[in-house]
Amino acid sequence: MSISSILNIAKNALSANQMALQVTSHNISNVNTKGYARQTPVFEEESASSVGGILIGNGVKVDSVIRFYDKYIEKQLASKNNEYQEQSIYSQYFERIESILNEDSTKLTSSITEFFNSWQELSTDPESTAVREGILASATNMSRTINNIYNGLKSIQIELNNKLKLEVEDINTITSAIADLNNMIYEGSATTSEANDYINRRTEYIKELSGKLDITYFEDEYGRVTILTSKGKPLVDGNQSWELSVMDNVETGFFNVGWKDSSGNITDITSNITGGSVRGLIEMRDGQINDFISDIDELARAIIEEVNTIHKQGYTLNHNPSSTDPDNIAFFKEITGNYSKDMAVSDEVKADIKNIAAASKIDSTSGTPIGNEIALGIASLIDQDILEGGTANIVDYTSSITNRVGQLTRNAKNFLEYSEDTMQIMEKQRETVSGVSLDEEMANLIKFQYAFQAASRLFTVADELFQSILEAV
Amino acid sequence: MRVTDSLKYAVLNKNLARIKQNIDATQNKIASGKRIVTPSDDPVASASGIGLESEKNMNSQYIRNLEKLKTLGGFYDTSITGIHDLLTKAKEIAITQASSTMDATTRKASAEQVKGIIEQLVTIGNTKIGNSYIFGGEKSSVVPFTLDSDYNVTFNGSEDVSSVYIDKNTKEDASISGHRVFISDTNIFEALKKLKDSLEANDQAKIQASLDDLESSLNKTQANIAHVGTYVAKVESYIEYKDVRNLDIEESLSKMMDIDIARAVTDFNALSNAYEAMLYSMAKVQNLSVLNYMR
Repeated sequence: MSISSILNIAKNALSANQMALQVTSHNISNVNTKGYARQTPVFEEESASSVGGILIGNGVKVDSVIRFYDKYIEKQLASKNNEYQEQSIYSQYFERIESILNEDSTKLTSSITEFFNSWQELSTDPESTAVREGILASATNMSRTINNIYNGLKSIQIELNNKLKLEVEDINTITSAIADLNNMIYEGSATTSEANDYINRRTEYIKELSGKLDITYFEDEYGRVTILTSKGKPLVDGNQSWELSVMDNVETGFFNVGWKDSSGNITDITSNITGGSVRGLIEMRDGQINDFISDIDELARAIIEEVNTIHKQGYTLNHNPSSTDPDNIAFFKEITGNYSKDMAVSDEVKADIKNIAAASKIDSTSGTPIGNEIALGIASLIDQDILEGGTANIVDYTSSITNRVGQLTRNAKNFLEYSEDTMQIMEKQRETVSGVSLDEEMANLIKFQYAFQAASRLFTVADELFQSILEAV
Repeated sequence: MRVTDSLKYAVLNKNLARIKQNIDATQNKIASGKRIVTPSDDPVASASGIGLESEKNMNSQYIRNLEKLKTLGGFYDTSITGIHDLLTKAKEIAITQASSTMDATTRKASAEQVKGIIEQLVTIGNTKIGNSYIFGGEKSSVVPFTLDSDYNVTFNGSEDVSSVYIDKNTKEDASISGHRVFISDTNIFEALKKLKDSLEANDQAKIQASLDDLESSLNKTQANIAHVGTYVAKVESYIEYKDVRNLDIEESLSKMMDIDIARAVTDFNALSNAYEAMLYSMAKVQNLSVLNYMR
């Protein structure tokens, strides 16, 4: 046992506490870092040395720096995020669809009612050209309203498709970053503070990835994580990552999601994706929006075809008196698909409103149209069950669209709120384990500072001891 | 449970955001005066709102149709009363001239009067509103009555009349045909022509005989006046019914869609209080730090 061993103990204590101060500072500075797990130094006694058969301690050392971390909470957070991100897509886009279909702004039903009302107006004055102007105006207005709804829905669908591509690119960035981090964690010692930070970052990335895609993952003995899609396609293994890519779907004109194997062959995995924002985007794009577009299409089709069928049997103001046949003029442009997109008044009617028919018969002597049966027939369409295979009239139909979009939006909002709440509970639990408390760190700071100061004091004591001996010489 | 700093702020943020969202929604409702701003606020009510709104629009159209019929009814009333007056005048002439004290000269003069009556009746028969002749029946664009130099009147219109909707699936005649008023049962023009011819011929017996036809013409016209009266009354009661129905709809719509302002404002106040309380507690929580006691 020598005085110099006191100096040695002082030196060890200084460096241990200094290291502890550093870890504390690191915690403090990362108080707001997302996904950071607080760290703490683990102090350990230096092995004692035997002096005259008695074991005397040799001071302290920092054995390791550990991070506070609960694997199961992190795993649950990642899987909750999968649900949460999918729900956010639904909520966000249903609200947009809702605003496109909101009668308050589109006035769809009232523009349709106006249109049929204008035919009633014609029935009360079948020869009038002024009333025919009114019919043309209300028909144009109704067609435009339907066109606008189609365009609004279609542009959301295109936006969803573009966003899908961006998400796939994001996924590739994340998987390659995870592969890099895997490598660094493997190369670095698992006990250093640096490796801890890599693990924190990787955990955050995995959570983000899980928000986009349904995945399963596990760690190997070296702390590297292997990630698979839930249907078993590898995305990350060790320091290697596999890319996803978008591929054109010839049928729909939209993107499918493909998985690229190491030799560059692409497999379509679109239908295997069952969660996350990617799933949300695909489901919204191919399911819900398409449903609404075909609803509007069906509405437009029914109006176009039913009105045309009646109108073609009519005699217009331009009827040629020498013919006894109806004028066979279509009121709406005759189309065979994309009804809501292309719905418009026919060119004949647009060019000359006298081509609008009100009468279903002609005077046998003069050949001029008489009566208002055509106008009455078209006007009465609004009350007839011309939709859903003859079970719903127009107003039933448009109100059921509103009802449906309202219910879907409300459910999406509720699900999102629920999902947010569960996320928040999980985040709280995670914070409880891993979060940095500044008060705690401040207490630690003082604790380590005093220990540091006390260790410094040891130097003075040892020094004085030396001095006493030297003076005695 | 450890409460960490970022948790403290995250919870505050979350709660503030939620209250703010509610404040925003309430404010929107107050500003628009509506309880339902988007369908998701109440899907079922917004769907039935659309149905009611459209029924209201359709009713307004039915009311417009009915108002037109009412105006038209006024015209028929005036016209047919006019016919009645003229026929009465003709009957007086016939009674006077059937007397044996009258001679060829007075009868000749009376014949001129009857000609005038026929001309006036043709004018009435050709009354036009806007584009249509009101006595033309379905052929409302053709001049219904033409008079030749012999005072023969031909009817060019149609016996059938058009109809218009006055309610869902309910139609009403849009006009009264000149055939019904002038031609059917007793032909008014033929009765007058007979009178005119017998006056010109100075044939007392025939003048006497023409009185029968004039009498039945008058009876028919009286029946038509009654018919128009019933028609107008029916139209008026329909208008009233539709007006009341629309008021009912507006009331239901308002109950369904409009906001209870007092309640909304109370909600709004409660929310702003909650928001202020959150901000206050945030300021307090901020001060709860060991840092305040370290130098």
